[in-house]
Amino acid sequence: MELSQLKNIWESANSQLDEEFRMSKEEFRVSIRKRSNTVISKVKRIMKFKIIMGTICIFLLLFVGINLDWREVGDEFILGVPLSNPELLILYGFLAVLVLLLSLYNLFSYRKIIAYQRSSFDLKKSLSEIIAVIKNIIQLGIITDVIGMTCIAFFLLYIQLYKYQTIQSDYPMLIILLGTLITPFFVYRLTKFLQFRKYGNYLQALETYRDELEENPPKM
Amino acid sequence: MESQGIIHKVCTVYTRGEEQRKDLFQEILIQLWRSYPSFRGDAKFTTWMYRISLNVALQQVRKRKKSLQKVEISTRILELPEAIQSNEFDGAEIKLLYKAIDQLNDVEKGIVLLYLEEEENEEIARIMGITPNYVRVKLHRIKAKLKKILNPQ
Repeated sequence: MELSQLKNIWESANSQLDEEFRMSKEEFRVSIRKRSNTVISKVKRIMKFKIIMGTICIFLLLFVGINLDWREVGDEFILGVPLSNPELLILYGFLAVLVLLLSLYNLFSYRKIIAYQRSSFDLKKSLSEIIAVIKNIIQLGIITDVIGMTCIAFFLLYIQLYKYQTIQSDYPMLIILLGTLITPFFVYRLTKFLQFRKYGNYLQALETYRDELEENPPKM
Repeated sequence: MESQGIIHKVCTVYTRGEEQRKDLFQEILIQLWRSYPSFRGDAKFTTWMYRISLNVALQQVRKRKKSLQKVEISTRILELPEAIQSNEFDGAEIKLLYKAIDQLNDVEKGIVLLYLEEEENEEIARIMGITPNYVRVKLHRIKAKLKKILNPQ
C-alpha cells in the first residue's frame, strides 16, 4: 500500500464510521450528565469529601474547645489517660489549626483541578498542567501524612509518658523529642513510596508524552 | 452535534473494543462540556475539540495500559465494525491502515490522525503545542515508520 492512498482510505472508512456511531441529542444529554472516571476526576471527588469533612471537624473542635473551662481540671480520657482542660484546649486548638491549614491546601489544589478541567490548552501545555496538578496532589498527600502522623506520635508519646506526672525537662521529654523528630522522617519515606506507587506510573507516562512533544527532550 | 465525527475518530484510534470506545467517547464529551466556557473563539472550533479530545484520550490510554497490553492487535482489528468496509476500499486495506496506526506511539497517533484529517501543519502545531517545523519533522518520521509497516519487504 502506498502512503498517498492512506488519506483516501481514511476518509472512506470514516465516512462510514460516522454514520455507524452517530449519537442523537438525547444520548448526548444523558452522556454529559454521567460521572467522569478520569484519574483527575476521582481525585477531585476525594478532595471535595476531605474539604467537607475538614470543615465539619474544625467546627466540632472549635465548639468543644469553646465550651471547655480551661481553669478546671478535666476528667476527659484519651487512651485511658485523663487530660487536664488546658491540655485538651491545646490539643483541640492545635488540631483545629492543623485541619484548617490542610483543608485550605486541599481547597487550593481542588481549585487548581477545576481550573485545569475548564481549560483548553494545547496538548503540550495541557500535559504540563496536569503533571503539575498531580505533583501537587502527591505533595499534599505527603505533607498531610507527615504533619498528621507526627502530631499523633507526639500526643501518643505525651499521653503515655506523662500518665502519672506533670511535664518537665527529663528523660521522657527526650523520648518525646526523639519520637517527634524520627516520625516525620519515616512517614515521609513511607508516604512518598505509597503516593508514587499510586500515581507514579501515570505521572511517568504523562511526562513521557510531554517529552515526546519537546523538540529538545531532556536527557535521561 | 455536527462535529462528533472528530470524537469518533479519536476514539477509534485510541481504543480497542466497543466498551473502551464508549467510555472514551463519554469522557471526551464530559470534558468538552466542562471546558466549553473556556472556548473564546480565538482558535477554530475543531482545533479546540481536537485539543480536548486528544488530551482526554492520552490520559485514558495510560489508565488502561495494563489491560491494553493483554489485547492482541488482531482482536481489535476483528472488532472493527463491518460498516467501515466501504465500496471504494475493501476491509483488508482499512484494517491494514488501522493496524499500521496502532503500531505508532500515542503522540504519533494524534499527529497522524490530524494529518489524515487534512489539517495544515500550522493547525497541527496549534493543537499539539509544538512548532510547525517540528510537526514537519515528526510527520517525516511517522511517514517513514508507516511505510516500513505497510511495506515490510
